[in-house]
Amino acid sequence: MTPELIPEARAERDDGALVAACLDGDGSAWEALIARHGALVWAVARRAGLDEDDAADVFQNTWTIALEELSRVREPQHFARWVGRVARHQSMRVRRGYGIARKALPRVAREDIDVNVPDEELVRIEERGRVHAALARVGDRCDALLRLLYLETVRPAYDEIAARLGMRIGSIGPTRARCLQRLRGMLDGGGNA
Amino acid sequence: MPDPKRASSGPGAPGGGRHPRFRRLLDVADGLFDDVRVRAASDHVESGCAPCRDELASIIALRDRVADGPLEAPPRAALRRASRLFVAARVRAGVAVVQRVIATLVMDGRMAAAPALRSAGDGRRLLWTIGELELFATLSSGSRGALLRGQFLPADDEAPAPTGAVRLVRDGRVAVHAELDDDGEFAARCLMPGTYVIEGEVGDVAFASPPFVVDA
Repeated sequence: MTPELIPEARAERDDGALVAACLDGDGSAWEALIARHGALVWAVARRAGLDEDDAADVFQNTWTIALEELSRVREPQHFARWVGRVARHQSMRVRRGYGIARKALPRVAREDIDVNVPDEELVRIEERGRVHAALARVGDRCDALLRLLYLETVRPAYDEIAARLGMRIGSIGPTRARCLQRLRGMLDGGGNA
Repeated sequence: MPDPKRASSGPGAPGGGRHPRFRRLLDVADGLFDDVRVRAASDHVESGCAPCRDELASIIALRDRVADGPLEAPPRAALRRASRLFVAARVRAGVAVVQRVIATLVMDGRMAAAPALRSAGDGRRLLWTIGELELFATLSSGSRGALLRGQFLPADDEAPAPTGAVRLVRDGRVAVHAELDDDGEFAARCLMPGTYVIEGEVGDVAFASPPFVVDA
């Protein structure tokens, strides 16, 4: 995501409100939708094995369709799922254009290519995007702690974490739990973290 | 199902023991079995407490989403292009433009002689900034008046050419009306001597240039 594109206040509006605002001519709502779900669209295109150029085309086509079809989205509150499906469809069209030329995808490992990107995968990508959008708002201390605990290739020892974050070793466990609970609360309560 | 927000352990479960707190279930998820309380929580889940098993699964799923790392951000150019779609749609739909600006002249110089033009030595290059756009123009004299060629350039080279229309106004009257082509270019021919202003609507901007003189 690109936080600079979207003031925090706009991020609080849920997708249904943003879609409605777009239809009322609010350009900032459109930017908020892109800022919130752009990474999802991009991830679907890349997950389908497209290189950056083709993924960029899919990205543009997806948002073009989204804009044209916005008034016909039946469940605007589930815009993420809808735009993810559009991205998947657009990605498949490009992939069909690749034809049999799998060798035309040198930069993407074959096992990373999933032409169909099933719904469950879409949900997983969407969830991943939501979780990390929420993580960015859960607080600097929590963000730093959870990243150290769960995102490092080799998890640092607690004494190292304590030194890096200026915490007592004994507070790492409880803080970690509180941070994850807060994160879950934001996801459960906000819908669009 | 155990309340994840509760401060203390809950009542007993079918398999015995008390419902573990969120933190203990997270310890189980993280495999911190050195602590006897974590082993007890694990035993509790294993004993058949369905709500705690579901809660543990939910915690593991959340932790795994965190561990998956953030999604790759789309390139900034792709974000900008998608963002501009909204403005382009408004312009196509005839919605009123949202900005009105005065162009700023940033360059006015002579250009090299063009052999095809009779009075090529009179050529000028002009550059205005209009919001985030630039308008680059060449003004050259010809046998039937001056020729002004212009092109609107977006701030981002990869962005699509802006759409819109311009008018050349002389003494308060529109002398030429021109639509921008697919490359954001326009041309105005047969300009009589006088003081002109370029005005128009391009992208989401309505603009007017400072006056400039077309010599005889």
